Parts: sequence; structure tokens; C-alpha cells
Amino acid sequence: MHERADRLAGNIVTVDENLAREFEARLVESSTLAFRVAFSVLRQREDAEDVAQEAFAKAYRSFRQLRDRDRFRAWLVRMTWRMALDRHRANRRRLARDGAEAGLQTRLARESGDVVLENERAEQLWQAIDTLPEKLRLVIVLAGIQGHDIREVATLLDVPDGTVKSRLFLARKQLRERLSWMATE
Amino acid sequence: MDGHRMNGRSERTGPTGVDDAALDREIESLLGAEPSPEFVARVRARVAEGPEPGQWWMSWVLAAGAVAVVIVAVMAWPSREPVSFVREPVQTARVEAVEPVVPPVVAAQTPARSQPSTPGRKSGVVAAATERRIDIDLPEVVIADNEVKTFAALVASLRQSRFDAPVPAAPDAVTRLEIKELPPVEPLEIEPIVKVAALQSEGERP
Repeated sequence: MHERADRLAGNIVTVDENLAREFEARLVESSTLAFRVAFSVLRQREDAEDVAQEAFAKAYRSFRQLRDRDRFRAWLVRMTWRMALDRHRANRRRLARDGAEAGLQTRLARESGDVVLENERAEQLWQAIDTLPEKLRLVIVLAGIQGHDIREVATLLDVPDGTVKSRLFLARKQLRERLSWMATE
Repeated sequence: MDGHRMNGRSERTGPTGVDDAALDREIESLLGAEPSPEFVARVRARVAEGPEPGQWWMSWVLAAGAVAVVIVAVMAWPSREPVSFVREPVQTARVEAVEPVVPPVVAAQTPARSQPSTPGRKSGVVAAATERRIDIDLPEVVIADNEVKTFAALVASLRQSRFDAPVPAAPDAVTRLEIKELPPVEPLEIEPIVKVAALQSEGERP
């Protein structure tokens, strides 16, 4: 009886250890992805890290259903993106409430001074990306992260390759139009 | 990988002179930010603070169970609705011919005594008894066994479109009714009414 209980306990520990090991592997390989997805929305390192941490904590709670690598990464991207958008909206509401909406861009640039926002061209590009519809924006961001190809983006978004292609085409077209309009302004 | 990617990228050049490849390089450089070296360690710490995978839903299950128990308890609790004498036409018509429902205490004390018929009240009582449960703090109703049998026989005959009007059998001397004493009634004191106006009109002073 005791032997059986010990064996059972040993199996449970083994399962938990396996889960922890798998999650550690996912964390190491996907941490940059989650951070960059959050950063593409928030453009603040601290906020992006905070959102990515939160997304990983949620992923860990549901990790029994997310053990598959592709499924985990797709879930993580969607969750991080959604949480980052929520955080971004909350930040904007807070700034607007504080009467600091006018200085938002200045503040963003100052707080992330070590990033590319110092470059005017980069700022224009960020603004152009912000004007894209959400679906196009997510596709162009994921394609620009870690050299993801169309198939990888399709897997992350759980959509067909053709959908990614058409969205990428539209996103680039709109970006070019927006950038040209900014250049002539 | 890159080959696949090139399939989705046309080498077109926009009015700003930026082709897709240059645009993609710019976006990649924008998104090339790296998390801080402590980021993964912080994620590990945050994950360690939370519940184990698959266990967090246990609290939800427990909470749902508690809510279900409360709902069942509320539904099973006896209703406290006020007594209402709702008359059902069919039942009332059938009970009209029934001998008056004698209160049990009276019936037990004087079994052969008949009471004047009050159809409205009778039907109300019977209908209410069949309608819903009356939950008031009243003494327990005790009906003599012979009257129960008589009433059952009458109902059976009415259901067969007959009216047998059975006579109650003599009360069984073996099974005695347990009659609880009623609570004492406090005597009501009414002060005499003085008709002041009438006395004044007659010229008398109170």
C-alpha cells in the first residue's frame, strides 16, 4: 500500500517536473518574442517587460493545455498583444486624465531614449504602423520580429498562409502611402 | 525560410523610394529591442509566486460548488408566501355538496353535531389546502378517523357521478384523538361608549 502511494507520489512529482522543464524551455525560446510583441504596442521597455511577464504567468497557469510548442507560442502572442493593447489604452487614458495628452509623444521619446525613437524617421514609421488596422498591424509586426516567415506568422495567428500574404501586402501598401504622405507634409 | 518570406514580398518601390525589403529592414530594426538580462529571471520569480499549472481552477470549482449549494438551499427552503384562498371552479363545484368541514377539535368533542353550511368558506379552505402549503403557526389539525373515511367515500362517489351522502360511522373508541389544548384567550375589555352629543341635545350635561 505504502509502496504504491510512494510510486504514485513519485509519478506526480515527475509529471510536475516535466511540466516545469517544458515551461522553462518555452520561456527561454519565447521570452524575446513576447517582449517584442508587447514593445511594438507600448514602446516602453518597462511596460513591455511587465506585460510579457504577466502573459507568461497566465500561460503557466494553463500550461497543461499549452504544452505543444506552436500552440504555446500562438497563445502567447495573442495574449501578449491583447494585454499590451489594454495597457496602452490604460496609459493613454491616464495621461489624458492627467492633462498630459499633448506631451505623450515627447514623454514616450524621453522614456525610451535608448531606443530608436530619437530618430525622426523611426518615429514616422511607428506612427504609420499605429495607423494600420489591428489585423494588418499584427501581421507586419510579427513578420518583423525575429525574421518570421509567412508560414511562421500564419502558425502564430492560426490563419492560412494566403491570408498572411494578403495582409502583408495591404500593410506594406498602406505603410508606404502613409510614409509618403508624411514626407510631403 | 527567407525564400518563403520573399514570396510574400514584392520588390515594389513607393513614392518615397522605399521598397518592401527596405521597409521590412526598417521595421525589423524598430522591433529589434531586447529585453533586459533580468527579464527571464523576473518571469521565473513571478511564475513561482503563482499557483501550480492546472491547480488554479480548483478554486473556481470550489467557488462554483459553494454557489450551487447556496442556490439549492434557497430553493429547498419552505416558501413563506401569504395564505391566499384561491378558488378552483371545478373543485368548488364538487365540494359544495359536501358536509361542512368541521374543525377537528369541535368534531372530536361533539361528533354528531351538525353545523350550518357555509359554502364559500368551505370551498376556500379546501381549495387553499389543495392549492399551496400554508405555513402559519397554527395548532396541528387532527381529523377523526371515521370522518376521514366518510369524506373519502363521498369524494369517491362524486367522482363516479353519484352522490351517496354516507353517514359517518361511530368514532372508534380504541384510537383516541390527541387534542392539544388551545392557548388561553385573554378577556377583551371594552369601555362603555358615552354618547355625549346625544345627551347634550337632550339638555343633559355629562
